[in-house]
Amino acid sequence: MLFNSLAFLFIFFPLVLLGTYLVSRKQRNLVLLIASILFMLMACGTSFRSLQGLIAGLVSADFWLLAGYIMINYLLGLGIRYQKKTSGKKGLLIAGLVLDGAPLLLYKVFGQVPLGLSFYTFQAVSYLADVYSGKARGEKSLTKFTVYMAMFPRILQGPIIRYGDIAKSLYQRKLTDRNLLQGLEDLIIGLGMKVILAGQIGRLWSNIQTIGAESISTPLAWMGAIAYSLQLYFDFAGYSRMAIGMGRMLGLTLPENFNYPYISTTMGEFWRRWHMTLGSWFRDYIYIPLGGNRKGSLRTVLNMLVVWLFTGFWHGFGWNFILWGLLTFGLIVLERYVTGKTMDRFKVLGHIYMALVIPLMWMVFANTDFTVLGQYFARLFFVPSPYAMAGDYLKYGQTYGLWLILGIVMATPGPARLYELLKKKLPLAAVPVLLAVFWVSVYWIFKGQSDPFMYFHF
Amino acid sequence: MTEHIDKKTKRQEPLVLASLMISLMATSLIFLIVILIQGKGSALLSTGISGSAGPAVHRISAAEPGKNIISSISLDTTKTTQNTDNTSAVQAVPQLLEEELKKAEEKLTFQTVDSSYFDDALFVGDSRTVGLRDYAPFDNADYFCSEGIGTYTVMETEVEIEGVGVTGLENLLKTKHYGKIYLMLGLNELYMDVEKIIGRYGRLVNQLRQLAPDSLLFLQANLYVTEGYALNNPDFNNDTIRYLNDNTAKALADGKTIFYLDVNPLFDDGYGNLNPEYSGDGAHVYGKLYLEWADWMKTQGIVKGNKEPNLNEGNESSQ
Repeated sequence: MLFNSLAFLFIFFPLVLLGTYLVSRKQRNLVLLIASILFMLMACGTSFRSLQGLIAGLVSADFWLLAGYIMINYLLGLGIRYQKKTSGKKGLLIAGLVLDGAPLLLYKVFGQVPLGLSFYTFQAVSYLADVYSGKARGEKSLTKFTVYMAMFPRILQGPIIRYGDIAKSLYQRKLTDRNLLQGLEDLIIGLGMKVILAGQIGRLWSNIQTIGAESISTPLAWMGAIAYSLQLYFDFAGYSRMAIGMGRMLGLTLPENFNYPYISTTMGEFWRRWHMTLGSWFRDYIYIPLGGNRKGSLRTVLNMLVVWLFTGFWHGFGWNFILWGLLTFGLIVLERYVTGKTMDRFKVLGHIYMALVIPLMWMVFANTDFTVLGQYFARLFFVPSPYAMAGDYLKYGQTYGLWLILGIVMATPGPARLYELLKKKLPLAAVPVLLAVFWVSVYWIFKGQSDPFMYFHF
Repeated sequence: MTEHIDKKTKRQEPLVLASLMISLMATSLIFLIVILIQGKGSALLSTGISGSAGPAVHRISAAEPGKNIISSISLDTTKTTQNTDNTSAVQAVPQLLEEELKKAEEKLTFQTVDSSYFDDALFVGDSRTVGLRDYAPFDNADYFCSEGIGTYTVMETEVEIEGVGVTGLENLLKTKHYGKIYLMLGLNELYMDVEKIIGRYGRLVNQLRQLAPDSLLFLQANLYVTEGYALNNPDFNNDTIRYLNDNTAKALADGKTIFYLDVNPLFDDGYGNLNPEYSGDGAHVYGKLYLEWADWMKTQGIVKGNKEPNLNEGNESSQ
C-alpha cells in the first residue's frame, strides 16, 4: 500500500490516527505496531480487497525477512547491552553486521531487493553500532524495537532513523495540537509534491522511454533530463515529507530528509541536502570509522572513494551506478581540493555548474543500459538523431513546458517562504491552500486509478 | 517549518487546525458519498502497489487495474450497448456489407507500393498510431489518433486533422473521402471482457463501412507486448491480444474490401511476444522502428484494377 492511494489516505491512516488518539498513552506504540504489521502485510501482499491480499503478504518472503531482521537485531542489541566483556560485545556486533549486511548484498547482486530492506538494514546496523558505542541503549521492549524498525510511515522509503533520536518520542508519545496541524500540513504538501508534481512531470520521462534515446532531439533530451531530475526529487522528497508529517501527527519526530538540494552550488553541498539521512548514515558508519579526514589527504580521498562506491552500490547493482558513484566522488574531490573556493565566492557560477551537473548525473543514474546511456549522452551533446521527429520538443513542450517551469520554481525555497509569509499575515489562509492541494492530489490519484494508462500513454 | 512563530499565529493555531480538520472531513464525506453513489467505491480499496517498491521508484498499480475502470470509458456507451456486447464481431458485421461483398471481385493480393499510395489514407488508432504519425514518413496521410483511445471512445474523440480542423471521426468521414482507412484499436480496453471489445469492434467496422462505403479497410492486428510487460500487467498478455486480433481484425477481413494486416512478426522475439530490444516500455516500439513498420506497410498495398475508385488526393465524398 502506497501513501498516495485512496485506501491509505481515506481508510488506513485516519483509522490509525483515531486509534492513537483514543487509546491511553502507553498503548500508543501498540497501535502503531499493529498498524505497521498490517501495512507491511498489505504492502507485501497484492491488495487488501480481500483476505487473499493479506494472506499473500503473510506467506511472502519479504514479510518474514523483516520479521527475522527484527528478532535477530533485537536479541543482538540486548546481547551487546548485557555482555560485559568488550571482546564479547565486539563479537556480537561483527556477527550482527554480517547477518544484516549479507542479505542486502546478496539481494542487490542477485535479485529484486525486498520491500524496505535497503532502509531497515541501515537502521539495524546503526542500532547495533550505537548500542556498542554506548550512544543508544539496547531496547528491552520488543514492541518499541519493532516500531523503530518497521513503523509504517517510513518502512518503504525512509527517512533512515537512528534509535537514539527516536527513543525519546517512543517513550513519550506526545500528541499536541501544534504537531497535529504541522503534521497534517506536511502530509498534504508531501502528497502534492508526489502526486501532482512528480506524477505529472514524470510522464515526460516515461514518454521519452517509450520513444527511445535514439529517436529524440537534443532539446527533448535536455527536457527529459530535467523532467527526470524533478520527478525524482518531488517523488522522494514528497514521500519523505509525508512520512515526517504522519510521524508528527502520531507523536513521533522523524528527521528531515531533503533541504532544497537543487539550490546547491556544489556537489558536496548537494549531498548534504539530498537524502540527508542516507548521507549522514554513510558519514557516521562508514566514513568516520574508516578514519574520516583525520589520517591525511590520501586516506581522506580513499575513504571518500569507499563511501561513494558504497553509495552507488546501495542505489543499484549495475555498472552505471558504480560509474555514477565514481563521478560523484570525482566531482566532490575536485571541489574539495580545486574548485570549491571559487564556487563559494561566485554563487552564480556554482548554480550554473550545478544546473548542468545535476541533470547529467541523474542521466547516468537513470540509464542502466550502457548503450542507451551512450545514445542519451550523444543526444544531449548535439549528435543529431536521424530518427527524431522534427519539432518533438515543441510537441512535448506544449504538454509539459509549464509543468517543468512550475517544478523548477517549486524546487526552490521561494514558494514555501511565500506561504509562510502568507500564514503570518493571515493564519487561516493555510486552510484553502492545503485543501486545494489535497483535493487536486486526490483528483489525480483517482484519475490514475480509473485510468491505468495515464502514465503508460497507450 | 520555522520554529519561530509569533503570538498571533500561535493564538490562531487551534482555529486553523479546527477549520482545516472540519473542512477536510466535510469534503471527504462528500467525496465518499459521491463515489459510492457512482459505484466507484472499489477505487477506495486500491492500494496502489503490486510487488515491491525500491527507493524512489515509480510504481503503478497493476494488480487489479480493470475492475473499477470501465466507468472512465464513457459510461453511457457502455450502458446502452451492454446487451448486445456479446455478439461476436463476425455476426455483427452487417448484412449491409453483403451487397458490397457481392460487388467486389476476386480476392486481391498485397503488392509493393510507393509512398504516394498513402496520399488518400487515413490512419485511425491509439498511441501506436500516434507513433506512426510522429515517426513514420507518411506525412501525406491523415491521422485520426489519440493516446489511450479504444473502440468505445474513438467515435466520441475529437482530433485535429490538417486541412479539416478539429473534428470527430464521423464528421471527418462525411467531409473527406479516403481511399484507404487503417484501423488499429482495442489494446487499451483489454482490462474489459474481451468479448465486449470484439462485439464493439465489429459494430465499429460496420459503422466505418457505412460512413465510407467505397474505402478499402485495413484492419491492423494490435501490437503484442513484451513478455516482461505481460508479467507485470496480467490483463495484457499476448494470448488475449492474439484472441482479440483473431476474432476482430482477422475474422472480419474478406480479402476483397477489408484486409488484415499484422505487423507483429516484424517485431517478434521468436516466442510470439514483442521483442524487448525494440521497446522502451514494453507496449510500444521505439520511435525509429516506425520507419521499419512504414517500409513493411509499403509491401502491403492493395491496388484494384479498373474498378478502383479514383485515388487522387483530396477527393470529395460522393455522398
